Amino acid sequence: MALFNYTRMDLARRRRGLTKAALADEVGITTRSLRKYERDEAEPSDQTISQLAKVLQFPAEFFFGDTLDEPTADGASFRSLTRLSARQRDQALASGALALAFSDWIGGQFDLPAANLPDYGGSDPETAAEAVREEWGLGEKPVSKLVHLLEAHGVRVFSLVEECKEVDAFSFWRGSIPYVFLNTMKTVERSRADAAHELGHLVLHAHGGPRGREVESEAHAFGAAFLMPRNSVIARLPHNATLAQIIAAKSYWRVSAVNLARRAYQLDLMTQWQYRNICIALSKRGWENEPRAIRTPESSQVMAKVLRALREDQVSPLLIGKELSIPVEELSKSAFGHMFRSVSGNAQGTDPVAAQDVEARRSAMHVVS
Amino acid sequence: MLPHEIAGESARVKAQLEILLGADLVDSPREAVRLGYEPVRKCTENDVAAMAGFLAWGMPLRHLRDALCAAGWKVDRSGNFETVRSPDGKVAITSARGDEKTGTEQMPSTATDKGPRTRKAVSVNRAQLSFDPQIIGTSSTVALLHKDVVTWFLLHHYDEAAQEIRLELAIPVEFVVSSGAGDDERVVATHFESRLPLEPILLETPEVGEDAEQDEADEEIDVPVSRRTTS
Repeated sequence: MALFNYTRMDLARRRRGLTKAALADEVGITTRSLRKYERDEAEPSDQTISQLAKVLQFPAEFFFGDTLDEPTADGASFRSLTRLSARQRDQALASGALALAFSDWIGGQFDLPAANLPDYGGSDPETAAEAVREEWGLGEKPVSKLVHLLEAHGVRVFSLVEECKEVDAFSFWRGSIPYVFLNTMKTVERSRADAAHELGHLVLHAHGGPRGREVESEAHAFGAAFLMPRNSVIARLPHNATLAQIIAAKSYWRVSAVNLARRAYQLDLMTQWQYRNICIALSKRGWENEPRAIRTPESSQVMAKVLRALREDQVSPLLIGKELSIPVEELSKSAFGHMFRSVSGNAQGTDPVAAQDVEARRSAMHVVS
Repeated sequence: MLPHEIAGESARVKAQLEILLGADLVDSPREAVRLGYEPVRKCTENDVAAMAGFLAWGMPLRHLRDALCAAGWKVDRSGNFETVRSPDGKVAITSARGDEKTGTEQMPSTATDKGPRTRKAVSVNRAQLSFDPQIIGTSSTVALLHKDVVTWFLLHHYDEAAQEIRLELAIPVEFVVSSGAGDDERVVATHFESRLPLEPILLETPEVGEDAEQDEADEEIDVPVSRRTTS
């Protein structure tokens, strides 16, 4: 018989952004009882478990099972370190743990690209970005779909849930698999910059070490050099480009106007004074009001293909959620919303294990979008 | 501003433009500014400093003249004050760059200093409006009384950050002296009446995906995803 697992309940608590005291209060128990569950000195009653499930909006089954793997604050590279509260960080990490469970489930059923990320720890970011481009055969070309590119090279990419909107992105290595969590509620340009930034962490800081301004700055420089290769920018952008020219040129690299201006300044294509003026002009319209904005957000191709294949096998998102004891909304939020898109027409879902058996009799297929 | 108010404002502006220019020419001021700014936007840092400003002042007026003169209006540059004048001579329109408040609910000013002819035109306008604040439609009568003309400004402002040109037709009625004295006095028009804000001109195509340049981006990536085979 499965036992109540305090760590799972605690993960659900952090996912909901509740303090222990607040949870105890809402469930109608004392914090002392919670501590007893934590120390394994007592088990919650069926009624308490049911109340915990209700308050935390997780199925009661979720609280039983093995402890879930969870990214740690030390192991993950967070953007916006200074702006982030501990609660927001914990919510993001808890959401990451649920996504990892989902990722493991997918990994058990699908062959995905193996990680192909070079290790350039200790290199300067500009050189590392050029080397990764070279290794991936990108030359000086702009990157059209960055999330797809990362996935093609073995990075598992998930979207951050809306409750984590203060978190820009985070990334970490888990064994041999690199993970990136992206905030998709900001501008597309910013989300792409975040993804390139996280790639920088994975390439430059794979071995952990102290996190702080310096590594953030390195990852930032890597991201800029990766999205806006030096030679390409020098060739295409005029010296002393005006704001209008920056705005006209930015769509080539699919970056924000301010990031292109900063890159131009960094490459000595404009003076500090000009860069400052462009920043002032852009800030007047608001940073979220990106000029000539990209309208189509980046999304996960892996997730789309996996869910399409499952749908063809009559495996509904609801069944996946049931198997993992995780609300399907949680899974969908970290799957770029793909789950909800595939819910329709799946009322006749079948047992995924049975579906797997059926699949086993088929030859391995290459799912094409 | 609520949608019905915008619609109401739009109808009001159109009706007044019809009185001022005639039904066939209501779009001509906006089109003149749109065409006029094409060479402005081709200016680079290598152009002489005054070029963009000169073109931004002169080219909209040139295109406005192109449109209105075909309907009987006349080029007027008496006293080096460049305008286009109505067939009955009672309405004149000139071009002027406005500040960032142009085309908004706030009161704009001209962005550059103006000379004595502008000062005179503004003074006459003020006199005209003191008789009849509803100058449109009755301007002919008022102008006759004064044997003078009502001068409208086609104000336009290039908002680089927003990538739009905001514009309006309006009658300047107040000014402040910005520099000089006597014949060298320079003024800035600071208050306008009968303002007719026109629809801003958006300068950029919004959808990046349609850019031809995207053809140069990396080819469509196909991430290999396949079902695991179980033994």
